[in-house]
Amino acid sequence: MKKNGEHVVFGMTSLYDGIVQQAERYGDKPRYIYKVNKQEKTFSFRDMKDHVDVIAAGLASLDMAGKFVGVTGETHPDYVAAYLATVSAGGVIVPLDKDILNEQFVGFCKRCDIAVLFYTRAMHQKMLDTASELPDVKYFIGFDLPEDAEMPERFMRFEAFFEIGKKAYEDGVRPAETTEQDPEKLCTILFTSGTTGTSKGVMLNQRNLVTSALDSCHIMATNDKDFFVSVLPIHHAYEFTCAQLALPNCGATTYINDSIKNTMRNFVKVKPRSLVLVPLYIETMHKRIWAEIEKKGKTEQVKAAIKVSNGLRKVGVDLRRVFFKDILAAFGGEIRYIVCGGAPLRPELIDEFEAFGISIFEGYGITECAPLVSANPMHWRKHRSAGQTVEHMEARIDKADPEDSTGEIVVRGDAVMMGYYKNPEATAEVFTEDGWFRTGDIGYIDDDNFIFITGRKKNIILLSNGKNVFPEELEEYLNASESVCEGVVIGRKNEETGEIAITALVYPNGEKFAGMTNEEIYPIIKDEITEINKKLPAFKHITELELRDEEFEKTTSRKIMRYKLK
Amino acid sequence: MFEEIKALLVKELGVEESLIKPEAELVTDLGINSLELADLVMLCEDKFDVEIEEEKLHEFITVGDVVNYLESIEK
Repeated sequence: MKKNGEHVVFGMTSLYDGIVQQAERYGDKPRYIYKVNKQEKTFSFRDMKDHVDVIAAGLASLDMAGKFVGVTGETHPDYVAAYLATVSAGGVIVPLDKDILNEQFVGFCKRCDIAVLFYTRAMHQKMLDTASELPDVKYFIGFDLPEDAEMPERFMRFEAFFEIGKKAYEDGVRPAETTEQDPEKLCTILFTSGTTGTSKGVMLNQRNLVTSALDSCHIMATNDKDFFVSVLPIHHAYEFTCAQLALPNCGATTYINDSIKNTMRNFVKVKPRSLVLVPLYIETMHKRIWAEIEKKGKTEQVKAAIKVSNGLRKVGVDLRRVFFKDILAAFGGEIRYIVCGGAPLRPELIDEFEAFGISIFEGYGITECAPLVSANPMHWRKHRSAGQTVEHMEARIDKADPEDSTGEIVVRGDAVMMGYYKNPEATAEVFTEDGWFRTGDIGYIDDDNFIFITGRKKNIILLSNGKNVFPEELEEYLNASESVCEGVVIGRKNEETGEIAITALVYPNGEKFAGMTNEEIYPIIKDEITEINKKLPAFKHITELELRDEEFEKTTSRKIMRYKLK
Repeated sequence: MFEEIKALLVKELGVEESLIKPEAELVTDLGINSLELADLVMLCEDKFDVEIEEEKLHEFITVGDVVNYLESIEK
């Protein structure tokens, strides 16, 4: 147990140790509130320990303990229990994105020799469709399947599996309790985004997960009075570690958002004190707030209130929860802070939410670091910064030339992965000779040890004169324009001259250019690019512009698939 | 029904009124993202006192799709 300012962080030596201790500390308190067939159910901290014990026993009695086990679907208490049970029984859990195509799903399962697949009700058809291509999967086990669900050979209802496990547990089969929890042993494989061919399997062990979960507990002032609404996909390291592992360790109750359309309703109902989100949510919430204010004809009034409130705060008077009561009510009224990761957030939004009384803390993580690398501390935030490294991680900037102002961010610490699964070449590429992990992100660290990310190494445009251009820098200018809905900058080789042309690919703002053709829009955006170029050194000038008729293709986590752009 | 959906899009989601036509695509033409689409469904549920399955979210491409679906379940 460790005290961090006002809140206490409870330790754990392994994931199973964490589950046992949480069951002792919080007992019958709900760990989850979730819905099945529109019926609300609760799942206590003690239930979690019981389910982990029984699932582990069930796996052992089917001779599946220690094997590779897949899990897929939306957030569900038994998704988490199956994950923890697999690991506690000495196996390797492979969480798979529920939205990937069947072909990719089959590819990942085969690459990991998956023997058992746990899945949620919504995934049943996908399992039926892919089962014939997965002959090595011995059991498909579905949670909360409807009574009339088709159940071919190898398919099993979770309830039936649970009975097998329960009997085995009562007969003394207790692998979660008896298996040595080796912190260095591979326990999970997480696939990075990309195609089946390019996606890499990140290998993590319990030391990585426990470290990252405890570091998350340190940076978040969560306690056992808190309610939290889980909205992000659970297969991501960010949601799993920072929300599903860390928050219960602080005793918080998680309400599982049953549908994206119910998000705002659930905020009002659950009254969360904190949220873990990605920028897309915050951008959308921001738009909704202002649309609501405008609808009520209070835009000017609210803007004036922000000014007055900000002034009062400077002299130590904080009336935000009174002034902006109606705005905060849309989030349940209790919301104090939001942890935001996954991509950078516009600093203006951080200021505006702060003005309303909601603090946003940006962090930086990568799957290869389980994922937490750094975060802005509660007491000290810097705009545009990814924050300071968390307790068990260190960061350094590797510069190609000592004169450079930025370089590649390299990190080391207990959360850094073991390597990429069955891919020693890729593993060797991402570690420096002295053992630091190359994040692939470019940036600098200031005198207060705050990390600033300025670009992605793999996105760098290498010009024929040897100079490097970070497309992210140019995109920031481009995307600030009202004419641009989405803008991406790439380097495109002119086959005739051999020169690399810095090219802006723009999906124009349909609202602004309603009824106009691309021929009419082109010169307007081109003029804006000329203005942008005036702010930049000559070698960074955007020389080409291409308009698109469709938005850019995105990953399931809503990031633009940059590698597909040519 | 179209006029009512139009009013929701303008008032609640801040979409420019002149862009809203039955054939206008919600994402491509009106520039609303996946979360706003979910918001629209929630607002329709509240306004018309109906329940819309989450799976339907993926089937709503145009404004007309939403209108047609709501008309079909109202009958």
